[in-house]
Amino acid sequence: MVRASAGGHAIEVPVIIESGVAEGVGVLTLGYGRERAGAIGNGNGVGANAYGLSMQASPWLVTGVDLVKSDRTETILRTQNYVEIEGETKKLFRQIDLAALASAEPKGIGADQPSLLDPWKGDAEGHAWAMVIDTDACTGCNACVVACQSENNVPVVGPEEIARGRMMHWLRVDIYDEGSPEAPRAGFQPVPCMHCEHAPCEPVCPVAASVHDGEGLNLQVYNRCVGTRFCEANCPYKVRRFNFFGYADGQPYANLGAESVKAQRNPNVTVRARGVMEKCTYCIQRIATERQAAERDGREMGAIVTACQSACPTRAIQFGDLAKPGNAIAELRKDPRHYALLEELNTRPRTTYLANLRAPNPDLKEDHA
Amino acid sequence: MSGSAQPHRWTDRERLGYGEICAAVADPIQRRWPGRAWVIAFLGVLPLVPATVIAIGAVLTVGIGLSGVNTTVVWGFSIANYVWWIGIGNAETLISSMLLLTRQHWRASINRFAEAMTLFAAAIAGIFPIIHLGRPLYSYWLAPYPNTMDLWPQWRSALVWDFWAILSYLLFSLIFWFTGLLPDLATMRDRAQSRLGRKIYGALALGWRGSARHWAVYETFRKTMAALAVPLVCSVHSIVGLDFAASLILGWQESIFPPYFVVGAM
Repeated sequence: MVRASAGGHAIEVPVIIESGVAEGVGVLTLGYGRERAGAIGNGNGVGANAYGLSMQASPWLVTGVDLVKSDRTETILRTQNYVEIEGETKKLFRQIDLAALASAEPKGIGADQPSLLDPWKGDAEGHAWAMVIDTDACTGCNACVVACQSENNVPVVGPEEIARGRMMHWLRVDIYDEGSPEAPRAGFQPVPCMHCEHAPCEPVCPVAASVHDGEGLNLQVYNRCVGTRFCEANCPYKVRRFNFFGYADGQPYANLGAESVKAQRNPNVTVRARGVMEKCTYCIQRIATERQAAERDGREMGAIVTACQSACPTRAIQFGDLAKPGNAIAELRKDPRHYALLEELNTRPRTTYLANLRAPNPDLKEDHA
Repeated sequence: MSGSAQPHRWTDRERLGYGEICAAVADPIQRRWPGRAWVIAFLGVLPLVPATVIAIGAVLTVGIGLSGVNTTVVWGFSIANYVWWIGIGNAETLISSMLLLTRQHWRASINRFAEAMTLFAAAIAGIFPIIHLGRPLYSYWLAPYPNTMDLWPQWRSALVWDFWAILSYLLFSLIFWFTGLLPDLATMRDRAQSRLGRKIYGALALGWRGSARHWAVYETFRKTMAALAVPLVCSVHSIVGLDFAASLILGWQESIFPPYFVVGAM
């Protein structure tokens, strides 16, 4: 922890050295720090309020900051490395220069590769849900993560459990920095469940709790799950989350089991018990709601918006029905920037990505690959 | 004891009579105090039993989160122990059966140890996969029992193969150990002091009289079981290896794992 002071004001914040930040510069995020945090802060506040340093004259830039090491230390909890995907950044986080875009070819989901498994076939209703995430539009704001958490009753596990590597978010935002540490070509990649057509989590479950439905959704049957965690081990994208304790049910963090907090839960989503696996469902409750409304009104199913999609300020997340003629999602899959994560594993993911687009300034040499 | 000249306790001494050997083995159970060394050793390990019961009880009541596994390292202490104990059991089965098949008569002094060790190791190994589950009370869902949902286990999963491997290994070890014990149970029956002892050992000895026909059948049966044991040992630990190898994870998806596990157990 350091004590950062400028113009007679001071705050105490933890420090970490990051690539892509020039020497002599520190970065603070505004909007954090609570003076009263109830049971979570043990009667005290949590975090630090960076507004304490900003000046009215120049609210975004504070100069002449003094840093003094304080006698406290604090662990900075970052979940990024717990779930690192094995592979090269170039393949995992595809970046295309604007000049090369015209000659770029969309990459498929690897459906042309040979496989011992039968190709995916839908049921008679004829839906095929899919998601395309534009990594170029993503600003890494984490709104999708919070939206997913509140929509899907994802419990808060607390800092101790995070430190043990037991996060619960169904959706995470991975950070990539290709290139040198001085000038990293950084970018963000939100990673929900891929809903693979050949899902590696399904054949390893001994009790068939991880199954595929006729609309291409990879389902987790909470009632059936016995908690072997083999699916979690076998997921190459590391998107499955396990209730090591009763995070939502019986053993919640701090005061999060209070009746008033329980009342905030989405009634359309199961609250998961201790010892079961959970993961992104593509907001199946929203799909079901729309299906019921369509049946009631005797019409075709309309557009479905997932929670993450509805929260995204840059519309980086798109969701739709691949089987529906003229759906925008099918068009996005033909975009020259289109690619799938770890397509060489032959998992045939339903969640796919659009590559990060780079438009390097010819005058800035560092910005080139 | 008839031995008058005893050069050293490690070297060969004069051969004892059958009656004396019987007495040396059976009397500590039936006729006399087993000895101070035995009692000290027994009292030494006795506190480990409640410690185990408390540890397992804590995991069952508080949750598998106690064992320190997380999102990336999903299997830890329990599965490592499971593999370890299956390995211990395998080694003892091999010792017992290989020596029987190769007609090593000196095996008589160690085969009972080996077989008992296999049985207990397999039983302990069977506990770990159950307590490592998120919901251990539903562990029986891995068995194909008739139920109203018409649901069976998912046969593509290596964990289901594993369930059968442990179960068959446990049953085999129990039969191999018990049938080998029959002549000795008959001896205990014959030497029993109390009426109750005679009844219990008599029931367990299954009517063994030690006739030539009994011994002939016994020998054939033991050799057949031993011949079955060798491939069984390979299959059991291969399947344990497949728990890891039949996955998609870097470092686990290795075709060398099944033979590596079998050789490692030996």
